[in-house]
Amino acid sequence: MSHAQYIPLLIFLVIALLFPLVTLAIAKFFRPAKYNKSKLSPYECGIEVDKEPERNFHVRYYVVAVIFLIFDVETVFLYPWAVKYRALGLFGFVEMAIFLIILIFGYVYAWKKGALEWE
Amino acid sequence: MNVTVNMTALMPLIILFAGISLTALMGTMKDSVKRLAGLVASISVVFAFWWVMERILPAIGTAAMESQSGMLTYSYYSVFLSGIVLITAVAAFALSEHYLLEEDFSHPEFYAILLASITGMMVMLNTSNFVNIFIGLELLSIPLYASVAYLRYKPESVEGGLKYFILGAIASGFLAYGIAMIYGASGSLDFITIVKTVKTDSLFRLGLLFILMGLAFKAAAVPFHMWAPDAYEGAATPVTAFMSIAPKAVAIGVLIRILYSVFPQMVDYWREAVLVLSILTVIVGNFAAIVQQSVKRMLAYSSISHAGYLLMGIVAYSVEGVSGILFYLAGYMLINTGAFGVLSLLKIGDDDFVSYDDIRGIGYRYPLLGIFMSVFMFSLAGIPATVGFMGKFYVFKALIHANYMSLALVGIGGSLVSVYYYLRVVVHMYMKENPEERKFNLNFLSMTVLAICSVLVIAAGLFPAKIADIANVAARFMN
Repeated sequence: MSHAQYIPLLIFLVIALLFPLVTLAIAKFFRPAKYNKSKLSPYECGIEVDKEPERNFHVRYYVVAVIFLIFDVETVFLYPWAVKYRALGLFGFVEMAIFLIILIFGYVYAWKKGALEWE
Repeated sequence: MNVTVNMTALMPLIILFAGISLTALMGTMKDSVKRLAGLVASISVVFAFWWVMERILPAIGTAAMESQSGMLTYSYYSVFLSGIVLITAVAAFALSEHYLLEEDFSHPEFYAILLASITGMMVMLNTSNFVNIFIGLELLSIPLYASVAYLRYKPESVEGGLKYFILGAIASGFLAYGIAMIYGASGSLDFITIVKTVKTDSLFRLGLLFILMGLAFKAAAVPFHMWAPDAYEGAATPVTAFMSIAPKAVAIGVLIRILYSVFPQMVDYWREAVLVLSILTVIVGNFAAIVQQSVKRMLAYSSISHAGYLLMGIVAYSVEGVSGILFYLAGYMLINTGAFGVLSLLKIGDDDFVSYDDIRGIGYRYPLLGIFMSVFMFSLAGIPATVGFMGKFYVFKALIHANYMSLALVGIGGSLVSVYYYLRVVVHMYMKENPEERKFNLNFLSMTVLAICSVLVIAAGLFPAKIADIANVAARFMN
């Protein structure tokens, strides 16, 4: 088996490794070195942090995020299906209907369990 | 596009999926409906079992029944293992009914989760395509992580679930990587196409090694066993019964299928690897089981050592070896369901009494329970007139016929060591006094399961011919 076809991949890997190193080195050479407290903080955004966040995010945010994710992934499958709808015909339609029913089943379950109630 | 769907082949999976949907939906309904979830789950499993045995089995001849270009493949071999999985599932459902009521934490979702895992096992067993092997493994594993952590208010349960999850995710990664390498080397994911292209070059060897590691993890073979004791101990006891049998049967079964029918040209390479794995597993499993203080944890290590005996059967590389393994698995299903079933009854409220100290004097206070447990312990130790003895006999006989005398001796040595810790249970039950008086509720359904298991353990130990014949047929028609 010839491995020649993988050489572009290897070049790409080398460039990907070199790029951040080279840019950091160049930046180090040109930039002025003026450090202060807010610049050295982990999430620097220009404004000094005056207090820690008071509490964790409530768990219901995660539930909503998970439900959102279900439908987000659904669209990933729906787009290619819609493009090839005519070629797939009735079989494709039934398959997609089954897929959607499974998803909707999960949604109904979450709804019934009260995942969407905020208070 | 013209696609034909073979509904007969697909039906067991559809039935199980209907079971998942129904039991999950029951979780949103009234309490009077919720109580029926175990029944609904059992019915869907029994129905799937009936379908496999009545509709699919007659359609299989010497060649396997294929549909969807090999994505679903039923052979005598895979149907035998599917049967083991489905029977274990019904037994586990029957045991969990009492266990979860006593625990006062019975939710229909429990059954939905286990049914999802069973569906994954069916997908993984009945296929001849690596994509379905991987999808089946994930569908098998992810619900199992959840079912280990099901008793979410108990730290041990959550700890076991988390360990199982993290290590299991890595093992799944190994398997996927191995499959990717095999695909890279052969250009196909289909077993029949791969077997035509297999050479013994390094990419195939590396890919096979990764696949072996991924499946050895699921079978809890040393050195991939670290998760097993904690996960087995933390899980609800009926779940432990289920996960000590079904995933092991699936992992060993699929491993045999892949090694024997996809990579027969590489037998010299994988034989060595499986040989080392099996010796390590038998030794570590048996010696670690000796020092345990909890019977449940001891049984976890014992199930590791049994994975070792099963792996030894793989080394034999003969039809005799495979039929020995299949017989062993069928017997192991009866014994382990029973042994963990007895432990699942030793429970008051949400306290389990499963340490050696707790079972002192059980044999006198609950004579029937004592007899059952003794039968299962004798059988696990491999004492003649039980199915455990016959299983070991067939596997070791196959090893000796394949000129692996020393490996068979290691296995026999391991069994000798195991006699000590299995009989220690019997000694504690009958020869020690228990200062504490505990009133266990011996549920009728669970006792029925135990009675059936112990009668079958003795019956199959005395008259093994029937199961051995079926196992022999299953072993000969793998593809």
